[in-house]
Amino acid sequence: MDHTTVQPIYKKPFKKKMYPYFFIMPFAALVLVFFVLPAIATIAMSFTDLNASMKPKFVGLQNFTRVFSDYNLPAILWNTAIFSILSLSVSLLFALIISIATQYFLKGKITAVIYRVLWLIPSIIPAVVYVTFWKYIFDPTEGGLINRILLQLGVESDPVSWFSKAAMGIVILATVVSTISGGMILLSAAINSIPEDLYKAARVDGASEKSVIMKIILPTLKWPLMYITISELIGFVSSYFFIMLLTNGGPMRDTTTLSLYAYQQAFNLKYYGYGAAVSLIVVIISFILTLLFLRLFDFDQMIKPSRIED
Amino acid sequence: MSTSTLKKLLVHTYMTLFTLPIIAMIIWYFLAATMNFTTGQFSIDNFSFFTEPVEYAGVKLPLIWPIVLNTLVYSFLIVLIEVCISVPTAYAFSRLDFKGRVSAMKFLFLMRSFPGITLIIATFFILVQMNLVNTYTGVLLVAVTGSLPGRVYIMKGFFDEVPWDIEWAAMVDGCTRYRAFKKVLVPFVLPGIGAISVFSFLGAYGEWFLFKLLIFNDDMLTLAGYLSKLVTKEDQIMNYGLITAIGLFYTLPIILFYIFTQKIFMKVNLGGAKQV
Amino acid sequence: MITLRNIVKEYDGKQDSGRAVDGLNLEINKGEFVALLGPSGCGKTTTLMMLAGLLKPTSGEILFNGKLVNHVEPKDRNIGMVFQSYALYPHLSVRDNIAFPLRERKIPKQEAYERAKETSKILQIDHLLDRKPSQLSGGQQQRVAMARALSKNPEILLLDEPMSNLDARLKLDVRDEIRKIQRNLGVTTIIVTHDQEEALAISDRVAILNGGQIQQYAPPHELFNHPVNLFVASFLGNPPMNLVQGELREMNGNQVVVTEGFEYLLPADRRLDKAHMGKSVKFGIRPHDIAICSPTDHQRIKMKVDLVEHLGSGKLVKVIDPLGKLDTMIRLLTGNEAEIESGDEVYIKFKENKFHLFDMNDNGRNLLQYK
Repeated sequence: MDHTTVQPIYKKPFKKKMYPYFFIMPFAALVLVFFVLPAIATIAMSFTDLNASMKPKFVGLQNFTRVFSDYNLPAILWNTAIFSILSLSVSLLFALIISIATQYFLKGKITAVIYRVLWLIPSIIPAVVYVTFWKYIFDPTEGGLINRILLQLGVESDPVSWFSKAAMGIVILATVVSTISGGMILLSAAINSIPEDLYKAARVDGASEKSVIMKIILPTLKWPLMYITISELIGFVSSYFFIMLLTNGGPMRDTTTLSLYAYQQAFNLKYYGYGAAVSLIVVIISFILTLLFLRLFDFDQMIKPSRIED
Repeated sequence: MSTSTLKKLLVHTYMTLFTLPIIAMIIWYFLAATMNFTTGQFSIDNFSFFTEPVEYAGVKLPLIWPIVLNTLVYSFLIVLIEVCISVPTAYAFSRLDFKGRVSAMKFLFLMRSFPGITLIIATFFILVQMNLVNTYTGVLLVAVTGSLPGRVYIMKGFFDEVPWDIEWAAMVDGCTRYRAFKKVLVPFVLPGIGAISVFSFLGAYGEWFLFKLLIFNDDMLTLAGYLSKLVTKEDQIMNYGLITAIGLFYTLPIILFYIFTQKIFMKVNLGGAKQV
Repeated sequence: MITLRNIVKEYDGKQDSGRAVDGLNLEINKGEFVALLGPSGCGKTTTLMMLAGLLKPTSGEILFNGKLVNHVEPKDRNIGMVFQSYALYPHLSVRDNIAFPLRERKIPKQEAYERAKETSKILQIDHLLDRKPSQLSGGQQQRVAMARALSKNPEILLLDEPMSNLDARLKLDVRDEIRKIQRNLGVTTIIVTHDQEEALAISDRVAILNGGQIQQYAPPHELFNHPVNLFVASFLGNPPMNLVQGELREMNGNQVVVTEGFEYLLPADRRLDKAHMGKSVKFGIRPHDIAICSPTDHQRIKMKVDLVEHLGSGKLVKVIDPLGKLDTMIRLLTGNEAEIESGDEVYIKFKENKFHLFDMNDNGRNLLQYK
């Protein structure tokens, strides 16, 4: 045979080039309409005075100047910061304690499994059901658990209105108890991946439990802790479901965070434009945190080329 | 007593103390639903919601059975949609080459971490424009878009684990790539599909916010939205007996289900953060 | 039957940096058993994947029976393939695994199962048909993989390291069996392996690859006795060929290889072209081509025994230059009867016409092509 022509460099036929897009099309369409479009619309709305009259007018930066002169703003920012930072640190601390206890001290014991299963329950049961428990404990009437105990012990003569005195504390407590499990799972897995030999070696060297924890376990947890910190922080800054169910931001605005404030401005007071401007601030904060989060990851190792060439 | 048993005892004491609120919570649900705390007597009065519509302190709600049906239909629909969309998407991200794949992956990752809820005001208006407010379609679309990035990410992890040998073998054995996906890869990632189904179901089962925001007819609610009407009242006067009774009826099936599938929860959350 | 012409494979479209296969030519006859042998990263697996159609060559031509198949889908190539991991479908029973390629060809279930049973009989796994792959031993899985590859009567059988996960003893049995089945069915077979013993034992011809190119393509004995270059010579053989750095010189009308430790006079029938004189060469000789000789023998070399290893079938003796001028250790094989201990001084002799000279200025090309 006489093949003198050089075989041209292989080009994928058009049909095969398009093929993968069919797989991601439904997803891409949903993302476009319900994520990209709302993102653009949020920005657009924040420059209008859209309200219940549904006749939006372009108002430039007016919403933003209003946000920064809003007399509620300092308190709300303060609430957001307190809520996020306290929830984060308490839930991290407990996730750490529980995972070290179950994966190191009680490793392989049935009790460890029981503790873990129990701790996961608050995050499994629907939020609506979960919050009723906290509402009951801190109920302001004499029907509430703490009030009942205090009355029976004779410490207080009148029921204490916990939700007006310590609303933020209750909100944080309820939030923390249900978020601990998320961090606990990741930390447990990380501790579980420490080879048993390392502990053995440490014991042979006469290391104390304290130095095993400080020198072997904690260094392993550096990355998972970082991961949990940022991802939970993003969640705490932006989500307001527990607050809404527990206090709805009250009393007054004591437990109103920035994102809940945006929601209330839009859906309770129908100041949609202003609400969008406030939520845009939350969007920006979340976005910065997300980017920070992404910086921690190595994308290239996540994305491997196909090993079949069509 | 040796130091090691002392240590174990100490650990158990602390752990029991920490876990006490959760145990108390579980016990309370059962007691509150079945006991009148003022008289201290057991009764099943709170469970009368099975036979008659709920009415309490100004809140009137429809009979529970249609709501249960709504909940099941909604939850299974969500599972179906999320599986049907996330599996092909994850497959493409994991195993196909296409232009823009890397940027799309980055975008997916960004979406997974980015709280879509911050965009809810604009989302609401888009639904208004599409005439989808107060429809299940609207709730479904928003809910699915919110949770899909996470599901795709988990599924991609499962597809990444499928050895290439298997797909090569299928191709040599006469499959096109699509056939190989259907006949060989999907059966291979079945545990992953099971896992995301469980997650989707739980997410949908507990969804109350979107119903509060987007559904105005009480007879279209699901159990979560139904309960939230009783939990978030203006006057804060709560009928705990009724709420816990409904809550128990609502939660018990998934708690039982959870106890049997708890291993999945440990595994899949891991899958999501493997490269940490 | 199979022709590979100037095959080039680049990954990610990167020029020159990532050439896994770089201008490969290969001709395989019908019914032939060919091994692709080489160190890891030599391009042998990439070549096999291109034959399977799972990878597409960047340039060049792949012809099956004279027909260009570069862009033919794997499923339309009529090939069977066995993978290193066996790649059995874990969710299917052994029967369904073997019948899978048939079912994909739209052969009715009944017939597919019957043919699966026939094939399984050839491989003596017909008693395992109802099991799942996870319930099989490694050797059984390997048989199922073979059966699956053969059930559709492929024109070409591709084997990718099919025995590397088997233990040493089983490997020998499986090797013989694969060879027997291949002969009976007459299927053109290409095996990729890094195990030279396996490649030499099983195949009609072996292609030795390095750096994405074929170094030598010949029957096993020829590769072993007449390596075309330094790579082939040093890659094949265990213990490996002795290689000593030297220089070609003309001395008193004789051609001599001069090394740090000895001078070796080329026999008259191995005289080289004058142009080669003065060249830097590697003098190569296999361990079994060196003998221990008497102190009076011609062309003897005085050495000191450094180490003696007992191989069971004989002894491997490592000798060094007693004066320390030659820094290369020389290995030689002797029978068990030789009484040698480390520290002994011995004389060694190279068996006649068994040496090779590799031109170091020409990529180690063998200057002595015995033909």
